Amino acid sequence: MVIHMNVQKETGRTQKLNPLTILYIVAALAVISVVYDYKVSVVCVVMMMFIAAGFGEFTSYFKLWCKSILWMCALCFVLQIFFIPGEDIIWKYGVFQVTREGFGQAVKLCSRLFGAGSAAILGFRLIDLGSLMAVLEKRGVPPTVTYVLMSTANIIPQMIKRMGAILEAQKSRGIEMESNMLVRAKAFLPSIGPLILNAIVNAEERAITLEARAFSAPCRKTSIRVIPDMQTDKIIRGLMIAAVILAIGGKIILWIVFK
Amino acid sequence: MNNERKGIKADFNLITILTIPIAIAINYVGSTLAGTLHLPIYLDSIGTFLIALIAGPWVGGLTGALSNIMVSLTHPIAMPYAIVSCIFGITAGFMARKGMFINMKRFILSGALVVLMGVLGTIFVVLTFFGGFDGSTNSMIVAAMRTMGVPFWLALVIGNFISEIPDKFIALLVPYLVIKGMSDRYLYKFSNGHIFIEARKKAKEKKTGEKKEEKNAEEKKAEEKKAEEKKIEERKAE
Repeated sequence: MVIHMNVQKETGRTQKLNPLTILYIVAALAVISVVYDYKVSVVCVVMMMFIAAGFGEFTSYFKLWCKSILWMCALCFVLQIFFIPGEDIIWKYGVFQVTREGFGQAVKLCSRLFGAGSAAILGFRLIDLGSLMAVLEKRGVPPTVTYVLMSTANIIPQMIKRMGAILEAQKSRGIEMESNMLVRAKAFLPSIGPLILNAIVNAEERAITLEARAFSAPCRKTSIRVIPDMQTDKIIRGLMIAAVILAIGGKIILWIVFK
Repeated sequence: MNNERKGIKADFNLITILTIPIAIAINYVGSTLAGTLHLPIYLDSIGTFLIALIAGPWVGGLTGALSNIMVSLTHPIAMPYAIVSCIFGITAGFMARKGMFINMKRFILSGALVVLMGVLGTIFVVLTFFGGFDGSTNSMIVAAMRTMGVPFWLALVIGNFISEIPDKFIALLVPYLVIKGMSDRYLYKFSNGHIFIEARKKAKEKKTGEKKEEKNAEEKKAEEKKAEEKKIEERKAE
C-alpha cells in the first residue's frame, strides 16, 4: 500500500483505473469509430470528452484536441472535397469543384481520422507510460521492449534541451540561422552533427550502467512499482473486448445484409 | 556484441537496443530543427537511416515504425506513415549490408532506391488512409498541380518526388557523414559496422598502395637520372 501511494506521488496524478484498462477503453473507442460512419465517430469523440472530464483532464485534452485533431481534420476535409477526382459535380467555382464521390470519400476518411486521432491523444493524456510499462512487463512483455519505449519518452526532452544548447553555442560561434534558406540549410549539419555523435557516445555509458544492473540477466526481475488491478478493471476490460467483437460482428452482418 | 554472428537476434544486441531510443529521438529532434530553421523539408528520418546503416534492416525497420508511433501520440496523422518509415529502414539497412553506402557513387544509387521506395510507400499510404490528401506540404503541392489541370495520379507521383528527393538525400547524407566520423572501436559493436570498417581499410590500403607506387616511380626516375648522368660523365671522360 505504501508503495502504491509512492507511485501515485511519482506520477503526479491520481489514476482511478489501471493503465491497461484505459488502453483497452481508448483502443475500443478507436476501433468502433473507425469501423462505423461519422455519426458513430462523433458519439465516440463525445464519450472521449466525458472520459477526459472524468479524469480531470478535460481542459488539457480539449486544448490539445482543438490544436491537433480539429485543425488537421478540417484541413484534410477541405483538400479532399476539392481535389479527390470524381464525375458527379455538385458545386463549382473557377478551378475548384466538389464532386459527390470526393465529398463521400472525404467524410468517410475524415471521420476515421477524427475518431482514431481523438482516441490516440486521449490515451496520451490519460495513460502514465511508466505505469503502463510496469503492467506490461508484469504480463510478460520483454523488458527490452518496455525499456525502448520508456527510454524514448525520456530521451526526447533531454535531446531537445541539448539541441537548444548546441544551437546557442553555434550561434555564438557565428553560424547564421536567420538568413536565407541556403544559409539556414548550411546551419543544419553543424547543429545536428555534434548532437548525434554525443548521443551515440552516451549510449555506451548507458550500456555499462545497465549491465551493472543486470539488464541482460536471464531471470525474472522484480519491480518496485506495484500497480493495482481491481475487479472493476477486469470487468471494464471484458466489456471493452465484448464491445469490439460486437461492433466488428455487427459491421460484418450489416455488410452482408446490405450487399 | 560479437558482430560475426548473423541473424535477426545478433542484430538486436545490447548496444543496438540502447541506440534505438536515441535514433527515435534524433528523428524527432531532426524534424524539430528543420522546423526551427524554417526548412521546407521534414528531415524526420535521420535517426532511422543512421541505425539502419549501422545495425541492419530489421533494426532500421523497427526504429522507423516505432518513431512514427511515438510521434502519432500527439500528431495522429503520422501513424499510417509508420509503414513508410519501416520501408525506409529496411531498404537502407539492406543496401548498407550490401556495401552500398561505402562511397559517394554507391550512396547516390542507394539514395535513389530509397527515394523510389519512399514515393511508392507514401502514395500507397496517402491513397489508402487519406484519399490522396493528408494536409501536409506535399498535399499542397499535389493540390496546386491539380488546380493547374495535372491528372491526379501524375500530380501525386510528381508531388511526392519533389518532396522526397531533397528530404531523403539530406537525411541519408547526415548519417553517412556521421558514420565517417565514428571510430572503428564503436562501429564494430553494430552488426553492419564491419562493412564500413573493411571499406575504410581497403581505402587506406589503396591510398598506401598508390603512395608506394608513386615512391617506386620516383625512385626509378632517380635511378634512371643517375644512370644517364653516369653515362654522360663516362662519355666526357672518354
